[in-house]
Amino acid sequence: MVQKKKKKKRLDNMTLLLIPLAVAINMVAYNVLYSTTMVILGDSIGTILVGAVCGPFPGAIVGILSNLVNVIKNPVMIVMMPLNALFGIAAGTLARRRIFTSFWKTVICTPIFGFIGGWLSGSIIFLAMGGDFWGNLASVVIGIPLFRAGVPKYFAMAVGQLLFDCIDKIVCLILVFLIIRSLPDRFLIKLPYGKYVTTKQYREEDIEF
Amino acid sequence: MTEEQFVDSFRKYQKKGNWWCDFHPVAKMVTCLSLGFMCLIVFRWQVGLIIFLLAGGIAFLTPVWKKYFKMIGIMFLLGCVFTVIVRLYVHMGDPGPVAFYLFGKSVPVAAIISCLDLIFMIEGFLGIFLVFFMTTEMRDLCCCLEQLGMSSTVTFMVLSTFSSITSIKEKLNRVRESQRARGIETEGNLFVKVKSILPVLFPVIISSMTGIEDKTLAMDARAFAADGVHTSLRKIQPAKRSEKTVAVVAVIVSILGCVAGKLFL
Amino acid sequence: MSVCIEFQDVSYAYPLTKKAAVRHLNCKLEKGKCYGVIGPNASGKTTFCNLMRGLCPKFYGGILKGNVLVEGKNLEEWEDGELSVRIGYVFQDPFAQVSGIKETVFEEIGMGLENTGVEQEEMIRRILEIAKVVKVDTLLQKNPLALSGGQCQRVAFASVLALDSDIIVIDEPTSQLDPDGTMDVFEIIGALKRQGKTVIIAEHKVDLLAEYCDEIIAMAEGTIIAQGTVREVFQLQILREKKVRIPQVVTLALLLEEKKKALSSIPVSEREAVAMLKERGDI
Repeated sequence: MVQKKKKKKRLDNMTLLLIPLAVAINMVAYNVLYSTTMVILGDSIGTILVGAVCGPFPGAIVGILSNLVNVIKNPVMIVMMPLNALFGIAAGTLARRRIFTSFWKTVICTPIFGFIGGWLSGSIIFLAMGGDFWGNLASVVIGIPLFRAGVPKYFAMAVGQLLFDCIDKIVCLILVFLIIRSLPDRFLIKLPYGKYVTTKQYREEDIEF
Repeated sequence: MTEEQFVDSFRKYQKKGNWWCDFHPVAKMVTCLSLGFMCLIVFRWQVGLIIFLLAGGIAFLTPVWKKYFKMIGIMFLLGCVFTVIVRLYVHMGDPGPVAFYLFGKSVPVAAIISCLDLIFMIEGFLGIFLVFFMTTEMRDLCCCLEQLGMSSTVTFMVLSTFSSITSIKEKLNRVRESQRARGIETEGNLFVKVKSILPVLFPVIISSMTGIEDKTLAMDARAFAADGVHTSLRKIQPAKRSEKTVAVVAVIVSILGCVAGKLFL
Repeated sequence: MSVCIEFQDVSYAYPLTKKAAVRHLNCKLEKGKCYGVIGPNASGKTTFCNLMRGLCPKFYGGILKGNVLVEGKNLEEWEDGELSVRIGYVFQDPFAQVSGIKETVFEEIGMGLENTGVEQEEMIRRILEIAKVVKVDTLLQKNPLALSGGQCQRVAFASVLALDSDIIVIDEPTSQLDPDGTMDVFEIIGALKRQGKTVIIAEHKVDLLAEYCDEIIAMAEGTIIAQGTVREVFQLQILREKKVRIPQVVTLALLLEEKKKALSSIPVSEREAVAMLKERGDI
C-alpha cells in the first residue's frame, strides 16, 4: 500500500501576506480615525477583517503582531496582547456563522467586541495601573464621574470603558462589513473563510464546460 | 561603496561599529525584556528610575541618542502627564499625610508616590524597550531567531509587517493627494475631516488587499513554499560568551529583583 | 526533443463563474523551445500560463478537468515548493513582484536562493552571474522599492532565474513597460533561449514574439486554435477570423498576395520583409 506523505498544516500564502497587511491597516486606520475623531480608535479593523476572511487563528496572529508593534511605542500595551488576539478569534468564530453577510447581524455583534475591548481590557489596565484610573477619555468622561457618584471604582471604570469601546467597535464592524462587501468575490473565495463571507454560491453542475 | 566592497560586506559579519548596536540581537532582546518586565511587575519608582537611567546611559553611548531622548520626552508629555493629572484629581481629598494643597483640597503623599511609581514604571519600561528597538535591525533579529529554530514563515511575517506599514503610509498620502485633486477636501474643520475619512481610507485598504494576490504569486515564484532549511545572505556574529553572560545575569537580576521588590518595597 | 509540459483535454473554470475559462486544451511543449502564446483579451492565455504553473486550481480554486503533466508527472503529484523551483514565473505587474522585505536588489535576487537552502558563497556567485545576464549589476546596492517599472521587471526576472528553473513562464511582462523596458525584457528572453531554457511567453506584442519565438500557440475563446512554427501559424486564416493580432509584416505580405504581388514567402520579421522586397527590386 502506498503511504501518502503527511502534509504539514500551514497557513496558505495569501493569509501569510494578508496578516502583515492587516497589521499595517490597523496602524493606518488608527492614525486616520483617532487623529480625526479622538474617540474612535480603529486599531482593530485589520484584526477583525482577517479574522472574518481567514479564520480565528490568523486573526489572532494579527492581533498579537499589532500589539507587538504598538509595544515599541508604548510598552505598557503588552498586557493587552491576549485581548487583541481575542478580537481575531471572535471575528473568525462569528464569520463561520455568516455574520458578515448581513449589515444588521454585523452591527448586533458590537457588544461582544465592546466587552472584549472595553470591559476586559479596562480590567487588565486597571490591574496594571495598581487598581486605579489612568489618563484616558473614558475615565475622565464616564468613569470618574460615576466613581464620584458612589459606584465602586472597578465598575465605574469598566462601564466607562465598555461604552466608549462600543462606539469604537460599531464603527470598526461597519467598516469591516463595507470592506468585505467591496472586495470582489473572486478574491474572497481564495481565502480560507472567504466562502463564509461571499453571498454568491455556485455548483459544478451550473458550469458550462 | 564599490560593488566589490558591497558584495564582500556580505562575506563578513554585519557590524555597525558600536558596542551596543553590535551586541547579539537575541542576547540584547533577552536582557532588555527581562529588565523591562522587572519594571512592570515591581511597579515601584525606585526600580523604574534605575532601569530608566540605565536605558538612558546605554542610549547616550549609541548613535541614536538624540532620537531616543526626543521619543522619551514626547512619551513623557503625552502619556505620563495626563495620567498624573487624572490620578491626582481622583485622590484629592483622600485621608493621609498631606504633600500639598491644590484648589483648596489636600493631595496626600500616597498619591504623589503612586504618580511617581507610574511615571517611572512607564519611562523605565519604555526606555529599555526603545533602546533595544532603536539599535537593533529587525532583519538581524529575525535572522538570529531563525538560526535558533524560529520558523522562516514567522520571520517573514514580522519583516513584512514593518515594510507593509511603511508602504501603506505612502499609499495613504498618495490617495489623499489624488482625492484632493478630485475635489474632496481633506483639511479643514472636524466635519470636513470626518467626511474625508472613507474616501481616503477605503481605496487604500481595498487596493492593498487586492494587491496581495500578485504578491502571493511573486512569493511563490521565489520558492516561499519550499520545505527544508533556509539559509541567509547576511551573516550575524554568534553571541560571544560575555554577551550570553550579560543576558543570563539580566534574567537572574530580574527574577531576584521582582521577588525583592514585591517583598521589601 | 522531449516533452516537458503536456495538456491532455484540459478544461478549467474559475470559482464563481458559469463558463469555463479554457476548454479541451490539447498540446505538448518541448524542452528547449521558446513558445509565444497569443490571442485577444479573455482568450485564456493567462489561464493557460496559470495551469502550467500549477496555480489552477491550487491557488485560484475552481474546477479542473483533464490532466496537466509537467515532466511526465501530473500536477497533483508535485509538491508546491518543488514546482516553484522547476517552473519560474514572471508576470505583468513589476511592482507587485518586489518582496518589500529586502533592502537591496542584491538581497532581493538572493531571496529565492535563501528559501531553497543554497550556501552563501554559491548564492553570491549565482546572484552576480544572473545580475550580469539581466543587466541589473549596476543596481545591486539600490533599494528595490526605489526602482522604475523596467528595472523592477528585470529584478523580478533575476530573482526567478537565480533559481535556475528549466522552464520559465512569462505572462505579459511588457504590458506596463515603455519601449526601452520592453526591449530589455525581450533581450533577456533571447539570453534564456541561448541557455537552452524552455520559455513560454504570453504577449500581445506579436511582432517581437515573431522574432524571438520558435513556435506560436494561438488562442481564442478559451481554446487553442493553432499551434506550430511562427511562419505556419501567422499565415492561417483562422487567426484573422478570430481577431487574433498578427505581425504587421505578415499583414503586409498577405495584402500583397491579394493584390497578386506576393513575396517569395511570408516574412515574419521586418528584416526578412526588407530582404525580400530588396530581392524583388521594390526597394
